[in-house]
Amino acid sequence: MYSLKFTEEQERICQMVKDFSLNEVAPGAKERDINGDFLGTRDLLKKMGKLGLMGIPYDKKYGGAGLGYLEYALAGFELNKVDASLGISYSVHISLGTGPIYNFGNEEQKQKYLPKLCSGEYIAAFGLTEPCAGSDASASQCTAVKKGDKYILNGTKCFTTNGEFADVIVVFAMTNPELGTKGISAFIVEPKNYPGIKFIKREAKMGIRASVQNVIEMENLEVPVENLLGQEGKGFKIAMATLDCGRIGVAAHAVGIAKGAYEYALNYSKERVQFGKPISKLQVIAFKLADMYNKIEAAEAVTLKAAWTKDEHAPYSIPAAVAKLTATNVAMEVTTEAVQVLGGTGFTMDHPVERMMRDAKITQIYEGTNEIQKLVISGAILR
Amino acid sequence: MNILIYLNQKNNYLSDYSKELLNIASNLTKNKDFNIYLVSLYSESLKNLKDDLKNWNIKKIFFILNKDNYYIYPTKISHILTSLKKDLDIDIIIMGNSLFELDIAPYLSMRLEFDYIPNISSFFLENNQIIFDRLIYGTKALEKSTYNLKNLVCIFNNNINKNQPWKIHANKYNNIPIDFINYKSNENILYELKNQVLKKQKKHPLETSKIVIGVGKGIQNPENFQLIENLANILGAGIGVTRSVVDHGWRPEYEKIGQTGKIIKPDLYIAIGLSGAMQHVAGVKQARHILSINNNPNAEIFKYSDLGIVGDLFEIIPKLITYLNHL
Amino acid sequence: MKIIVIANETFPTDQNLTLENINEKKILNPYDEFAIQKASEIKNHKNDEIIIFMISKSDNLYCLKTCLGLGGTSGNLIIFKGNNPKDLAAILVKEIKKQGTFDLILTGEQDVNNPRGDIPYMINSLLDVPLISHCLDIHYSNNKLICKKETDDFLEEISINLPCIISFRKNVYEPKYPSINDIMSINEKPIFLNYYNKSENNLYLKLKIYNVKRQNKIYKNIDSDKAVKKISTYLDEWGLNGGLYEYINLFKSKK
Repeated sequence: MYSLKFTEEQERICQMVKDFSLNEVAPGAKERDINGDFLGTRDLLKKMGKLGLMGIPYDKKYGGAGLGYLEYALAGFELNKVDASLGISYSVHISLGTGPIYNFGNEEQKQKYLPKLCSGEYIAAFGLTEPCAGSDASASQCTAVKKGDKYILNGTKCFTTNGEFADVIVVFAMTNPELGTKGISAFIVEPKNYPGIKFIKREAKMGIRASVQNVIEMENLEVPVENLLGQEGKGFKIAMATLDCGRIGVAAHAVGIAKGAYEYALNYSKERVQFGKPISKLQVIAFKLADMYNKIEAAEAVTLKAAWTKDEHAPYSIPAAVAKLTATNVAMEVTTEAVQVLGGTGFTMDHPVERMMRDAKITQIYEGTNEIQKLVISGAILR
Repeated sequence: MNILIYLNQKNNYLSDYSKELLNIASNLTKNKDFNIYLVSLYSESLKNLKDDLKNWNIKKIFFILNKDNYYIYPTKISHILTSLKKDLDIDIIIMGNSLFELDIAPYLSMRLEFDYIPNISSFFLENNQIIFDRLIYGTKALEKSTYNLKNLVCIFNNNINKNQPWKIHANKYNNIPIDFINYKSNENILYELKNQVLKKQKKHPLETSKIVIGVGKGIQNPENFQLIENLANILGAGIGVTRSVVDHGWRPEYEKIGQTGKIIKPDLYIAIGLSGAMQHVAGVKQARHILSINNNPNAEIFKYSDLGIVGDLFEIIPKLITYLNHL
Repeated sequence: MKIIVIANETFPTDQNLTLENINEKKILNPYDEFAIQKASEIKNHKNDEIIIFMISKSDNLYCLKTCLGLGGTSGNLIIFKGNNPKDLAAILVKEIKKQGTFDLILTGEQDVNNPRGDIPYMINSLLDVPLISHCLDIHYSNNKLICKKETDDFLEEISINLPCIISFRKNVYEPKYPSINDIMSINEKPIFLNYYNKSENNLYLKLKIYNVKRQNKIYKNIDSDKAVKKISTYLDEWGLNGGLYEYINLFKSKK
């Protein structure tokens, strides 16, 4: 059974991320969202790298902090309270971009890329989704053909978070299209150094506007043979295992968003006076806040359980799916209620709750839609 | 009782602060039997102050001569004061709170084994003892301490809350004798001065102005300070700023008012475009009147103001300037 | 190089003060935090030491460990319940002498909540090592320490040989966050505890919460002309308008 008490170091890490978020991230969050300033988000990622946050769950011998997913989740809780765009860019870098290299790379690949990724010098991205391959990853149409000492990649990837400023993108393509999912392979692509890759679109989105999601076009993209991750045909398994870890990151991201919205609504309700008293004295508002608190406690608990299970090296796919499903639904509900508590003014840009509500929606969709999570869970319980 | 006052005298007229220290010394004991000795760095203009000084019972004035213009180390001034204490059998030494005097007093108290009491905001005499008040925790708390009237080094704040009427005694001495002490600098050099840059002199220094205007982030950009300077010129006011203004780089750090800046005690503090954060308000809580102008009706500053106007400073200040010009 | 930093914990400046919570010290004195930052900047060799000295009334190590996370290499907690600054200075000097030779002593010039600022001078007197007070910045080059010092009229640049004592007038501007490695390495750094008994020189101090009642006359929906009229009415009521008239004439005549 895990301990419900945090160690002094874990508390100090929470405090440090909290101070960093309040002083460095929060002041510009609204403007970055309005202006779609993803380069501002990238600069903050670099600052986080200096504090050792960009490699929390990775081994010290590769430049990481040598801690686990528990500390990564704690950092995510604090960071996402103030800026969900930064939160998702951070989560994609750690779990989706750096994770595959850490878990499936050979020693040369790890020595080459991990130290720079953990220090924040390199930022990572994950190129799996395609226009015709979302939940159905096997419908991928990107191809990879081996020619001498290179693989030639062709195709289009979309919704690639961090794409255009990433230094490393883990890209999935079919080396053997006739084998379906068993024909997908994973590659480590350096978009700044390999010719044949173009970023042709930046998505205009409802939320997380200070993060960038690109459409990437690979036209005869040349990837050295040494950058094949794992073996040919293992790509699908790498992708699924990576998404399992990513789910814990997204759960922490969603819990953070919900906490930020709840705390804002709580403070607002203590100051807003209607009918002669603060609205927090009205039972209808007090009960709304109690519901929000209740849901966040549950979401936080399943997220920490999933993180702890992974750190204990026990099978964590199901806890991760439960955490992602619970936390993201809670985020959507809590942020919607937060706007409701603030009333008309909560709908305006004077308060951050409208941004938090817009940010929360995508959490129910990416890194495995909540419907896919139910598929995973039902598949496991009915086995 | 023998009282030694160190006067940090710069101008050719006796400053208000110096007068206060002299008055304080005259009121440190209800007993009429006391002697006041003055020590000061010599300057040409100081010679002429002898006539002003006749208003107080000063037994002797000591001028410290620095003919060769050596760099003045505060520790060496402490050594001079130590010898004076022994020669004159001084009971109490008092000073003001300039940075230079703050360098002398605690070191001196250690060498003489005297008690050191700084930042005194008021004092009371009771049963042959003296009770000092100090404002701490950013002027949120008052600390009272009691001492015998002996073996003390005291630094009194300016604009002190006078608790007993200032009495001016008829001077006992028609002609105050003067002694000169040479500042010797042929002893070991403690450190070397490489460069000196004059701090930008303010027309009306913050610490002593009777009216101070405080400016916060609401001023929006450094160019708008011209408006505040116009108002300050008419009122003869000092200008101070909040931490946000210093953080933005619009004004230098030594204009910052607050718990980590200057704590001031003006008659009137005009707070313009500042929200009234606790740490800033700590610096001006002792002002006699606080008037604030802010366009946010929920600004904290209104809780600490006597008069608050919710409005646009860029409309109100020009009209105020026009009104004052016609007075 | 051996750098000694004297740090203290104090009451958070943005909390409401009451007689109940006045002894709950929760933050590192920002002037001392600046001193630790400066010590980290001067330390340039792996074997340089930054030894943190802290006097506290309890043996709670949290604040000392925070200092270690910000750059200290070892910590020395002195548990002493007295309040006489002379005792505090004497105890610090006794502990400092146990360190043998040192190069620098850095500290903040005062506690943000109690502007006495006497400890650096008392240590200066007891140790007989030169002190540069009211420092804004320091850097080390060619075996000399260059200090930027504030005086009443000037900003001075001073060069001094080591060993010396520096007290800082500046407090932390850009907070430096401890990195994850800093946090995780705190428990690897040595900490020493020393207990001292209360002396007879304890000062008897009475503390009172000081509240000034303001009139709180706030005018919300008035236009700027009426605002100016209100201001002038109140200045009159406060006896300042007549005084203002004197000021204005005084300054007009000086022009």
